[in-house]
Amino acid sequence: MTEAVLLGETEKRIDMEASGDVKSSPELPLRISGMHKRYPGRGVVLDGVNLEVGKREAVALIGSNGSGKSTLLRCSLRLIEPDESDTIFLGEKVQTLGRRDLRALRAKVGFVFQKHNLVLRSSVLTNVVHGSFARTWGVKAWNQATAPKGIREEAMYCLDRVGLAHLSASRADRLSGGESQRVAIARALMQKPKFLMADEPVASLDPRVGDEVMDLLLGLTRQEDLTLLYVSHNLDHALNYADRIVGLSDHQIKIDAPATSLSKSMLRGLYGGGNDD
Amino acid sequence: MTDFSVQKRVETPGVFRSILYILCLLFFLWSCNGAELSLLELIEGIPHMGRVAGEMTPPDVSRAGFVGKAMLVTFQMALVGTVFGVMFSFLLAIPAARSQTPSRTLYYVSRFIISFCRSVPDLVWAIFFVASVGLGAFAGTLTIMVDTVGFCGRFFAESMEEVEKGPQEALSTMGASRMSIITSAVVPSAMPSFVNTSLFALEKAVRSSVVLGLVGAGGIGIELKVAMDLFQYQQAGAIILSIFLLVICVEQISSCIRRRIM
Repeated sequence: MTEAVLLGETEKRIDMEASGDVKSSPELPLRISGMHKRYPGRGVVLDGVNLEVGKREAVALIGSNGSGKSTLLRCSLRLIEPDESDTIFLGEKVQTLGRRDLRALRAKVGFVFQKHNLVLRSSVLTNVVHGSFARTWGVKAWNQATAPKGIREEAMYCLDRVGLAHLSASRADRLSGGESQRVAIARALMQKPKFLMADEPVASLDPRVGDEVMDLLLGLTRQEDLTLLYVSHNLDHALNYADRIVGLSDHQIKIDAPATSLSKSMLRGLYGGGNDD
Repeated sequence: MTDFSVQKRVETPGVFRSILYILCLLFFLWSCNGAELSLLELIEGIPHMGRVAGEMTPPDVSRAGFVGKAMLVTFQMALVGTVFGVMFSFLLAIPAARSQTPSRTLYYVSRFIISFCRSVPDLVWAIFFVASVGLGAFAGTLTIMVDTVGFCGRFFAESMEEVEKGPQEALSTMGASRMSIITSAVVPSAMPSFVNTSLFALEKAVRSSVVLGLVGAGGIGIELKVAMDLFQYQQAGAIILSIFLLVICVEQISSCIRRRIM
């Protein structure tokens, strides 16, 4: 449909940058150019993807299953190695970073996973303390019992911000899905991140809890002046919580436009659905 | 209606597989002959078993104090050997886990050490250590330690390979080092399996430590051998009864701990 109209924000920025109007970081915390990724046996997942995310932007990444959304997030931090990419993340050329520098970069990016990825047999407080891994050394972030007083207090503050300070001593496997995701958000906050990524953060939650978690995620993003890039299958969440929506299809970005200029029916085109809205 | 065929209840094996089955069966029958399996001798032996068992009762408890002390040493050997064995197993299991190993060479070296410890029977280790450090409980303790490394090392490594990858990915994303990921995500997730395996190792060690005495590696085994050699069956009966009680106690306690942690 109106791909020519919808495809534009990233290209516009690249043109602006070429003309000197936009500098890279700090105003452009993430810039991905020509990202290719191919999985053996599955074929091409990303085919020369370009994406830019501006400071304090909330960007929703949508697309059908297997369109490469999660791969894009992971490749940008080299959690999965892209076959080819020229990514500048928080001012760092990601592809050239050594192990230590890569760890330092990852530490600045809070990542919230679909399945929360908490250490289930550890306490809630320990899980949040883990968020301080990159700025502590030795055993300080291994467990709440080995953490210094300052780190423990910080972790409690982060838990308080997601409304779960009263569950700090509970084991993570005793929490509900919504509570687990809140703890995962608190853990990401503990990192003192400059950028937040979320990979389908509410996919495993019921609609009401999903809305609550999205409210919390976006609220904290705004309060902390963070940049948010999140993957979602929920078109309402994309339209209601993002400043901008990026749609992936056929291994490339097919939609890149402000959320206010898009409707549900336009987005459904990405999934091969009808225009019923 | 859609045309479909229902799967056969039992698939008929092909020619090659049928030949393989027949060869396996023939080898088993040949092995029965090699093992000198004899129903006649078993039937003839039953009255003798009854006689020896009868001579063991009532157990002679006149040396209860001495037997109790030897049992305590047996348990101490098992406990100390298992604890040190578990510690070494844990250290070896990290490089022996495919998902955690820092290098391929270390993976193969640690796997080889674990396999070697496991493949040599404990009695052979006991003979080796008796020859190396002399008769007594220390040789038995070393034997149990090595045997535990062979047993636990493999299971610990497999537990580490099987733990959920999600928390590890999360910590890696936060910039945690490999060691931090192991200590904070892998070990807590694999802990129930570690404790479970360690308790089985302790039960196994208690049973082994009884036998090790037969080759002079300390514990109650030597007392049992002497009693049997001197036909003091009532004393032997008391020793066997105390072994039974010790093994049952250890098994019950470890089952109780296992239930609590699982």
